[in-house]
Amino acid sequence: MRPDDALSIAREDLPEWLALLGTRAQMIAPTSGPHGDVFYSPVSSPDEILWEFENSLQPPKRFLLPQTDPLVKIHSDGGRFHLEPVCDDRRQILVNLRSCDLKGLLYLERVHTYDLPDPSYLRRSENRSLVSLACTEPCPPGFCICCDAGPFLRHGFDLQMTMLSDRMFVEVGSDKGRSLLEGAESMFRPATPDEIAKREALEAAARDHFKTETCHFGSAMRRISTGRVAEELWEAMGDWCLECGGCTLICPTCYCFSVKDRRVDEGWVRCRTWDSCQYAAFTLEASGHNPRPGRKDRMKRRFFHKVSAQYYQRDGDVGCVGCGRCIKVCMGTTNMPAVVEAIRKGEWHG
Amino acid sequence: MEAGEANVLTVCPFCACGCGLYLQQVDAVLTGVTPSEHHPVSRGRLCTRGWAAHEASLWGHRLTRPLVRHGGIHEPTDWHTALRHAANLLTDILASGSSIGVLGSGRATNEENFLAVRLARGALRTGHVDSCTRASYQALLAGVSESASACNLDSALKDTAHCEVILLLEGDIADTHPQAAHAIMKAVQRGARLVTMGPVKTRMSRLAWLHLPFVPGGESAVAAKFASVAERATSDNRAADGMAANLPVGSLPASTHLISSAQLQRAVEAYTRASRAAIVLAPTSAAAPWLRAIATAFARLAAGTRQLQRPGSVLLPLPCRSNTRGALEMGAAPHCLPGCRALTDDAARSRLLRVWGSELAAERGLDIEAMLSEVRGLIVLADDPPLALTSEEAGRRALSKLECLIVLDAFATPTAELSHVALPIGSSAETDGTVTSMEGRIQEVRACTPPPGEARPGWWVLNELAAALGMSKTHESAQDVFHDILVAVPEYASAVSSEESTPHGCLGVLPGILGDPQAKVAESAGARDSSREALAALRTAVDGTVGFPFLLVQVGSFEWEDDALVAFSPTLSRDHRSRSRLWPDGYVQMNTGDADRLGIRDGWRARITSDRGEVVIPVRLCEDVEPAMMLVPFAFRDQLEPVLKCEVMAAVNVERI
Amino acid sequence: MADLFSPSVSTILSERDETPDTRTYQLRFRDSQEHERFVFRPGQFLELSVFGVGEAPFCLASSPTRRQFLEVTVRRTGQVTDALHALGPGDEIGVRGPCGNGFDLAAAEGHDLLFIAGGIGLPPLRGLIWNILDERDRFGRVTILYGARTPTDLVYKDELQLWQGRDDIELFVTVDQAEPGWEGNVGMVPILLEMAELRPASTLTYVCGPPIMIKFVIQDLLMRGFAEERVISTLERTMQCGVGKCNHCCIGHLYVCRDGPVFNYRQIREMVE
Repeated sequence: MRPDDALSIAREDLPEWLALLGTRAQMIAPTSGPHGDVFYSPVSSPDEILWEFENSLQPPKRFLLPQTDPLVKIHSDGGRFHLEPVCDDRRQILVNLRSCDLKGLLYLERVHTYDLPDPSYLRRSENRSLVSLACTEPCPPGFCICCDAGPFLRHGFDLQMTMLSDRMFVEVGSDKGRSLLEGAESMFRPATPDEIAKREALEAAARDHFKTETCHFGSAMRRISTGRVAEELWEAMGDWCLECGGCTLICPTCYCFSVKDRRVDEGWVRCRTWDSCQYAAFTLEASGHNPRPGRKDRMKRRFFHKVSAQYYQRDGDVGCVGCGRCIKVCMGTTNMPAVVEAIRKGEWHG
Repeated sequence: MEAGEANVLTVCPFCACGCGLYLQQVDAVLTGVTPSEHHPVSRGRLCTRGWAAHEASLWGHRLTRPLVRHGGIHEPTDWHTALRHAANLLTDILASGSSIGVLGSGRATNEENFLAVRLARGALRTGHVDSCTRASYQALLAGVSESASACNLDSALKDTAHCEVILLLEGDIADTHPQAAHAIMKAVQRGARLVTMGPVKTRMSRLAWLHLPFVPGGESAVAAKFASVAERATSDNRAADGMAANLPVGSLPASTHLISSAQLQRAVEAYTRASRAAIVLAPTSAAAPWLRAIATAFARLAAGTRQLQRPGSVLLPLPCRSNTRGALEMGAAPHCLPGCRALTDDAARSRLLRVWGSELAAERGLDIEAMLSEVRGLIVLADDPPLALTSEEAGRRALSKLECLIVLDAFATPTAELSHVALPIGSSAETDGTVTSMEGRIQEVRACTPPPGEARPGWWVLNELAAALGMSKTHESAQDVFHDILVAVPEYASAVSSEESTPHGCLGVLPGILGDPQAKVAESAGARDSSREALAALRTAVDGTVGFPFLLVQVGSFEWEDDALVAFSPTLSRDHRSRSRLWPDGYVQMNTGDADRLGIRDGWRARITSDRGEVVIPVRLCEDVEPAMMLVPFAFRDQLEPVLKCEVMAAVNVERI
Repeated sequence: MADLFSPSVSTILSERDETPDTRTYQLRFRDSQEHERFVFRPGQFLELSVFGVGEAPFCLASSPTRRQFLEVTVRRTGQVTDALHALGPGDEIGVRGPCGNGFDLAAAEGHDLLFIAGGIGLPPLRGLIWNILDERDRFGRVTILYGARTPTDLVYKDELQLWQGRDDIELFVTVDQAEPGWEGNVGMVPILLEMAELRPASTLTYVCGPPIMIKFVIQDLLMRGFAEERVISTLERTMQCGVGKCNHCCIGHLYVCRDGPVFNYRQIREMVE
């Protein structure tokens, strides 16, 4: 931590700073919905922002990759077509992201930069600033420590905030992050050695929460990458999947999609919409042939993409940030930790 | 730039589980779905359909303007003209002394159904009111109520997840009721013993401790066997008293030939001994009277073994659609008034008089199948009825012969295409109101976006139509209608005012729902008939000497694939579209071993002959079909019509071509 | 591609029926500069859109040596192809591409070339064949084996005659079932392997057609001593984006739309679903 990368701000000054940011860009933050669920959504005042919350079930990925994402507007004018790419140039600041979710966005940025860069995604990501709130009290279903995705991040954030008793510790991770402090310099001061020590202690305590939890991705990766997971095991696990696709739709690192045209008044909008490799028809060909006909085939696919060495080498990480959402949404029992454990042990009991 | 954005809590519009979900809109356009983590039923889980709950509204072929048919062509018009035209057509029919029917819908809200019933019994003064998926559900409920008077479905799903033994009579509940499948899966994970019963091994059967294969019609025999084994198993004689009696089929050696008595013994013993146990009944292809007998049998088992009295035990019949139960409770049935009150219930009639502001027809009307051959005018609310009828083709023919067909729907369904007047209403994502889940949970559905074009909320359209027919009272909002419902149906009022009422709905249990004494007599007689017929088919098949060694069985009584909510969803329609595309002639499924012996390969066409007729149709091979059985998916029932003749099974012969 | 997902408007110049359910379209970008700029290799494919209906991938059936127009041959199998068949000359469609790796022409230089196609498998090879014929002296012997279910199902009937007439290529055609008037070979494609003179050591083989045909042909080739690396085929999978993002066409970590659709048999054999 370079000294000028570590700052702090008084807790009571936070609203003023955030209000200032709110004048420059749309502020996205965790808010409390009317029925007890937490949502990341646009806020008009810092008062709406939650500071202590259970992470939202829907990850903030939708601000970069919406479930229905317009790509191209198509107008027809007497048989002649006019196409107009849709640009999302809105500036947004995503505040109080959880470490796992921020790590997920970094993963998505890499896959959309890899090979042919996806300009529509990257334009958005350029216009988003990511401010995370370190998890001093890790959430119960999370296992971020297994994926190097928390509870505190080492890099990748624009700003990372840690809540100290009366001040907010702020680490600057990028130039974009630094620019968020412009105009508010008077509210920030360099972190004192004491504050740095407190922050380190909080991280150590947060890591301690996980106690003996060990990461089994390595073991699963060895087996999956070399095809050493028995077919019978996939089949047994497939029996416990109800193919709802929830695990993939809710996953901070999943990005499969389909493209389709939606009728609007004067033409169509070509949209990219979330899709799931867990759906039977995901690979169905027009001839009726399906290269992944069984539940086991599709489950194998999901975990190959998530934890194989082949994808690790391409994407630089396993496709999991340990947020634990797939545990919550699974209609069956085949969530990430359960399956990784089964692969490691070579047995499955439901 | 401030983008308008909202997440609106509503109820999944598909099956009857009643999952909570948020519809999301950005700048007044639906964009997606988020599960509700705090919803007591779904707890953050949604099935494939739930995740696509926004799609049909967003991508579907929508009705956006009132349409009136002139010379065979639909012409867009304004609301006033369309409503006037509809009212004139209806009054002409009434004036000529012919009758008109009204169909409510399991896809519509309680408010819409309540107003549809008001339109029928109040404005048109007819008892011909029904809804598509009512009969099978009601039969199950009625059967259950005969033996188990206190059938509290409150938190049935949650309880099921904690049962030790689960008897599941199913089609394929992983498909039809995924949240129920999840509860069962959870129970199995906790060590519960699952017994699946049905003509084919399903996804749930793969997790089962025991699978009891039998043919339709075998259900009641199996239940009877269950009862008699239970009788021996329980030390308490009173408990089993008369359990096996009164079943429409007496002793059925043939139909249980697939199950060994040892298997049955184990299942019953497990069920009897469990400290809490569940029976989950999904509607099968069996006809309503028969379903009722099945439900009766299982209810007797539950009551006789005292399982039902134990806290946490469950006896759960499953309605098909999100509001099948609500439609029935709102009175969309020919034999009862809203609140499932008897037609002769004076108190109920006077309550209705108060809220409807008109006298009402308290006569018993025709059910949907009878209606289609009798009435000359029909008002259809949010449904494509032929999809659920015994024969889709015959249903469409009947609809096309009507003098007046008025359709209120959000989607351009085939029924809407046939209509004389099509009135565009909001879809489930654009409608305020309430629906009632299979557990009796009365929940609010909330509009997330306004209806497109000139479409209006269903309650508004039904109000206007009633007004055009001379009803004076109108409503200002869906909530206004709900207030009327609270007056007409006291159970709803007490549920809403109960302390347990939460943002996620409240539970109402209608005692009245369970009784229809008139139907009881008629239906149990019918049950004997149809099971006798089934039995005859079965005997012929088992006998083998007559040359019809296979039993052809139609499975299921409802399929999602052609329903507007699925057909118009790009994600959901994907494999269904390919099914009808790849198999335009339909198919039957047959056991792989049987096919081998006959030299039939997957996808080949075969000739299927019964004593009623013959048909040539592709055969798909499947290891999960029992030997000597062939299955017809509900969607392909018309293709098998020459062989089945509108029955659910037939003894057949199969030949390779 | 400036925007990965935004197609360019193109005009259908002409259409030609190949078989009862297959048609060849000639296309040209509406913007002629764009047309001139468009560079591709045989074996690459286009994402064609019928606006309002959707997009689907089609291999380029024309040769980069003939730049007048692009050609695609389309068989009716789904929503998009149905909608395409309803269009005709003058109608506009969307074109994105070229997508995929295409055939490595440089690697083929100086080799004998054997093309084996079944039914609708000829279009992906046709662009390559014309490319090679247009630069004939860079390559060794050219042999084409082609079969279809019936004579009616043969595509490019005129060109088959044209090729038959040339003395710098050998063409063998067969049909599974003859029809009245058919005087050629009858039998499945592998029978043609018996008729042609094969030189496994010096030959690159391109195989394209229905999976079952590919399976048998490749078995036969390997047994005759053709090396796995020198047997080249194209794979077909369901696709959405065509640019390696949507994940529909993955086989293991390979993307048919980026790493393929052209693979040699060794790569194909080592793929894990």
